[in-house]
Amino acid sequence: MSGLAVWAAPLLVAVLLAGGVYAAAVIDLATGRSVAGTGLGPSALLQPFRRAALTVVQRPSATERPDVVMWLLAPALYLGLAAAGLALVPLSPTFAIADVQAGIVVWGTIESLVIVAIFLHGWSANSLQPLLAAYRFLAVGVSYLLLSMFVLIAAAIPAESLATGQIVVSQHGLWNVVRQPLGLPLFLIVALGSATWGPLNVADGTDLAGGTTAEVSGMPLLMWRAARLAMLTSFAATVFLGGWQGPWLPGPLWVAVKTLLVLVVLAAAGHRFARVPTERFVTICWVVLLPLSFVDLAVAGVGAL
Amino acid sequence: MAIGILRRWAASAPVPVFIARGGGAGWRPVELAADPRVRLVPSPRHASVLLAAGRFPGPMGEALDRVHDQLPAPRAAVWWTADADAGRPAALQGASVVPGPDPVDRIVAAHRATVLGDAPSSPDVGADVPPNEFVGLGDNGHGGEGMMGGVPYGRPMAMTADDRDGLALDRLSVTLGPFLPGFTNGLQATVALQGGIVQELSLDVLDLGEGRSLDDLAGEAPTPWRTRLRWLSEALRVGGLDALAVRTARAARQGDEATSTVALVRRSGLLRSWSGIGALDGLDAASRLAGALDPSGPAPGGQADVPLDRLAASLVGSDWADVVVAICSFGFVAGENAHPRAVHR
Repeated sequence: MSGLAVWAAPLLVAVLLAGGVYAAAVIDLATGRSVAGTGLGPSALLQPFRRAALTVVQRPSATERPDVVMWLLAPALYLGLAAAGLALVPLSPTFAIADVQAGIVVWGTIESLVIVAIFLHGWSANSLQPLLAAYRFLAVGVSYLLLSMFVLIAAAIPAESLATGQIVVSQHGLWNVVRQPLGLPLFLIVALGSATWGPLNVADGTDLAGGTTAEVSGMPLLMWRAARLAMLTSFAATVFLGGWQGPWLPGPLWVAVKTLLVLVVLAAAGHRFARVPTERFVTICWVVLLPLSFVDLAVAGVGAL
Repeated sequence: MAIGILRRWAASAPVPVFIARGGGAGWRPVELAADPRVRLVPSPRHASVLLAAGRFPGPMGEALDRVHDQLPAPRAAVWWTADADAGRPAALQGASVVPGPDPVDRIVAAHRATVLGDAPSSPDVGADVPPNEFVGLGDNGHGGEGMMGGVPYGRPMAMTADDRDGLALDRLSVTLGPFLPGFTNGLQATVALQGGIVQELSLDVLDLGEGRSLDDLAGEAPTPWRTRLRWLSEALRVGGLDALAVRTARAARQGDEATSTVALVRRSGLLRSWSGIGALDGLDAASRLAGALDPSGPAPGGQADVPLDRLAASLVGSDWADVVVAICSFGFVAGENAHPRAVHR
């Protein structure tokens, strides 16, 4: 698989990031309006730009003695991690922006650092509600992270490789979603957690007045919201839905189509399912979901014999 | 040129509104979520317009002033009230007053004017200084151990203390409310927290004054079902279901039976999420919510007159987010009777 010229890679990542954030914003708006029972006119396509423009013209907030560096760094880190995740996605049989031999390991690292970014965002504001949100996210994050490890290892077993490109190739003729049926639902739970979205939106919930964002406005808020949407997008179709594979259409288009489908599922889950209380999620995660991820791993191991 | 285009785009966005519900507002302002021109936000930091709904006498006015200054510039304030001649808090000195049934036109106009620069941003009303001078040791100074504890600048600082898990986490005393999402009008919580766990809690209702309600202003006497739907819309926001909250607000405004909406709420998992939270006299938040979802059902019996101190005592040891849910669940009333006592005027 070929790589990309050094100068072109950041440009392409930026384009993918912008496109992904926009697509996720529109899909979220559309699914939200579907649930709300309000119409979806053509103006919905411009809505993300209008909301972004308003956020940009608003002045960034200041709290008393925040950790300014960390407060600014957290959204940038979150967005950067989403960008790194997108860069790992193989777009065709011969092309990925970052063709890393241990792509799955890099992805696991990204998920771990997402927890750091979200915690820092809540902690550095020096304010109560963001701090409480950061603490409760930490409990959720540490729990779902274990699921991700086992699910990703299971996906790597049939490929006999940690490279995302090889994992896509190994799904020729039989996608992992069929071969490892537990994997995709568990992975989507990780996606909801990493983007702190819907039932797992424990970091930015209304019950804590916006959680880690309770004291944030202006450009930092825009970056944070964009990062959450980008993080949803980066959980693309690589690991379970065959990546670029599919008939008739070119590989990159298949990746886009599958990514949009995943986004629709995640956005719909966000609007249709209530936030899960932290303690209950942690219990469910350790008692039910984690054993299921062991089963997923065992199924993958037996299948590889 | 580019800035002008940016401002025009910003002005045409749905207006992010933070609602401060005061005396006489009830849950009526929640219905504004039904209007696509506005978007209700959970924090004043996310808003461009502060909608002050109802009366704000004394401490309510002081709380409103503090919230007002948290909105980022450019910002505007709109006062939706039947009693504009009553005391006007400093935050509302330059605010547009809406003495009618629907403030959205005025909200949109105020938003556009401030974002486009046609009207000045509403100025700060409080000084950006600590509430007290720092005096070293003493009432407004250090008083704990090392760099912890005491009340520097008059604000309690976290200090380690024993807790249920033996972790000796920091214990922090704060006042929250009266405009938190899910809180009934005027409700303020004074709470000591260790991590997210409530160690001490007292609930008080600030003076909401006397006068006409916003429903009186609109010449409407909402049915009990409409009042329930208003509350339900707020509860759904607290539960993380903003789109369903909009759907419910539309149903409330249109006087729907909202059968499909109630079915969606039942399938959302909110009842499961709220089960076991805020249990008092055998009823928890989920059972109170379930009661509210039944159009013909009465308000849950036996809890129509729960004193706030008893409610507060029952919530000690809970996670703060669960306390918010529990308090929100008590905001459900079949009519305009206070529930818990005196918090829903």
